[in-house]
Amino acid sequence: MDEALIVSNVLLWLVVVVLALLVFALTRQVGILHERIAPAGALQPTNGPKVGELTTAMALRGVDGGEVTIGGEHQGGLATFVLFISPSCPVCKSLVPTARSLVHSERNRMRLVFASDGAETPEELKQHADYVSNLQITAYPYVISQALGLHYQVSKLPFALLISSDGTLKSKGLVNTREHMESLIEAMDSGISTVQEFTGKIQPKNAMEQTS
Amino acid sequence: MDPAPHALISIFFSVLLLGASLHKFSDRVRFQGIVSSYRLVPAPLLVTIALGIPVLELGIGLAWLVGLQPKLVALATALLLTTYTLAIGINILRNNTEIDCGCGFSGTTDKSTSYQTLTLALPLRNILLIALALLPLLPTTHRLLGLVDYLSIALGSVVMLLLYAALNQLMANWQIINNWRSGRGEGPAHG
Repeated sequence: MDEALIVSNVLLWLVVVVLALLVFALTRQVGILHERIAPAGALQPTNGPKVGELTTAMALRGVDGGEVTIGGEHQGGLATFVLFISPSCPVCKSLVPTARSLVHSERNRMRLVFASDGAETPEELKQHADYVSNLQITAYPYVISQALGLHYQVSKLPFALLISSDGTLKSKGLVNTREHMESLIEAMDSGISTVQEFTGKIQPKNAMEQTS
Repeated sequence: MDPAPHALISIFFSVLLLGASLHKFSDRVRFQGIVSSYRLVPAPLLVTIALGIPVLELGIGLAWLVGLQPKLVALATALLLTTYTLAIGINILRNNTEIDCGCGFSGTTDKSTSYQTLTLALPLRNILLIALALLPLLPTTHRLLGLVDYLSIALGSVVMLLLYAALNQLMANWQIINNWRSGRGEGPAHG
């Protein structure tokens, strides 16, 4: 009996030591994570129209034959979130529901427009139409225009533009996650064009606190 | 009090105090800056106090280790910790909290724990430590320690130190998270 108690005591101690080590390691990890993870925003290209510039209205043809205007002042007073996607881009497919949910939560001040290009032949047009119905985005404008992509110099997909209701280009960038898309809206609200610029602004302030 | 928990507490405090004093000796200039930021010590005494505190910690830590005058040492530790707690408390009341607490037992030099400003969590932690330091004042019983006791003491002190370090890290994390939240909240205003 005594022997069993001693053995169990030793075993229990070993378990407690391991658990305490784990707890300590976890708390350290949380602390280190805070330093390593800075928020990441959409990658903003330097070419093309600059953020803050006034856009010109472009009347474009939608996949359903209707006319869609992108850029310029919006009559309804809504900002325009343009997401460039393509049937040949696998990431775009997973991002579409995210964009819908994000713009839906901002629906009283923002509308969502999808943009794509490359529909010269009827087969390609059919491919786009199938794409739209597969993604269940028939309720949203879907424009097919090479001119739009060239004008905003969209070289990689998925790419997003955010144009305010008065026609100013508020932000743009390569988006891969919801966080990236949110960063565009955050940029419009805060007036700071990128998250990188924002963290750059607060870090010197913190550094000053540290040394004082 | 049984001698085994007494030994456990002794090892815990000796490691704590020796670690703290070595940490302070290793960066005396910085520690002097911390003492002055508490705004409690008159300038002419600054150098003496900044040197005196680690010397005191070293002495008490060694005394815990070798078991010299256990009751007196327990009282001295409680007194030292009470002084720290009062110093922190006074500065919290003065709203002079944006200073480094200089707690630095954790012994690590990375940013995540080395800089902790004053919060109420610190006096609360210190009250726990003071209570622990006063435990050896209870009447001691005598018995011969066996092998299992030594095992318990050795592993128990490792666990105590780890948990103490984890507690400090959690307090530092808590502070970072709070800073982050408030920074985010007032973010657009800065822009």
